[in-house]
Amino acid sequence: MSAGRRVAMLSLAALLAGGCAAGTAGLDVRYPQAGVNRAMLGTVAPRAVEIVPVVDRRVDPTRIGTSPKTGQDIVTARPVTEVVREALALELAKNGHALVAGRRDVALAASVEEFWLDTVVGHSTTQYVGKIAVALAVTDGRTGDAVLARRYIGIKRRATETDSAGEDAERKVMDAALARVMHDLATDPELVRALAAVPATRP
Amino acid sequence: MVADAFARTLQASTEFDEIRVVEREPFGDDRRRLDAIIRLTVPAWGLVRVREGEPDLISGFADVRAQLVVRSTGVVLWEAGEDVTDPERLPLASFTGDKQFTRHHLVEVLERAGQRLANELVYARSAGR
Repeated sequence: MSAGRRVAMLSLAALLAGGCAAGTAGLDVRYPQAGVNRAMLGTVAPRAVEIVPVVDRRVDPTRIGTSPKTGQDIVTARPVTEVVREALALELAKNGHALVAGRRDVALAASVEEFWLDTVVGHSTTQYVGKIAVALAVTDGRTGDAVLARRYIGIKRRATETDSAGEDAERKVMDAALARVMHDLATDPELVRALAAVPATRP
Repeated sequence: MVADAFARTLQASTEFDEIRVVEREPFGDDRRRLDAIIRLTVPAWGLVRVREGEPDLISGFADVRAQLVVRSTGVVLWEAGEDVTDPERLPLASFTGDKQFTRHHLVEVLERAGQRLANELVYARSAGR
């Protein structure tokens, strides 16, 4: 195999692993910025937090579901790792923490374990169940010591009339599942304690 | 079960000084001592089909509602409803064949519903600070 062909195949694999399909719009899943509150994470004095690249650990990273109408894959407009990273960044920033790259008090490593939408079509209603599972590892930025490992699971179930079922309903369900992950994270006393336990090195 | 899990989660958050779970509306001195009353209801709970297939997969679910009212004025400060679904998905036979397992699964989802509601209250309360 020529070097040029190998590069092309690797690029294609990277696109598939991202879970977003070039050429199709996909669901624009995101954590709505307007709904982000300063919560319990804001009770900790500001820390310099680095979010290390989010890892995709899904069993099937090529899609987030299958459309029962068309049988086609449902995909996100952006890689799910980017969606989760953006949500984490919004939540931390709203709670007064500085997002940094490099000199850090705390490193957050997140893995997306599940990002899936199930659709159950009934006679008059269609039920959506969106599920997002994110594993989070917190480490001391200076020593590299593990401080905390948590898993947050957000599930949203919504029934809608089959006539009005579609991409908008699908996106809203996944947005809500993501918001539940973030709200559980932002109100987690264990995470608050973990952040507080790591000393702030910056003035 | 929902109320106990709700109260435990609020206590763990340290956002509230004292939480008491009661089974009916308090009155007299008991009522006067309260700053706020949270009324919890569970309009629906049970098992729901969450994935089509051979076999279909089923999960426990609980739909819960809460309303926080200032005791002295009756003003509603916060209201929320949560549809809570257990993360585990299993064939129907897993539930019909083992009552103990089914009970355990349903207890877990009810507790999860209490935690979820409490997290939303803590999250919303933080915004009003």
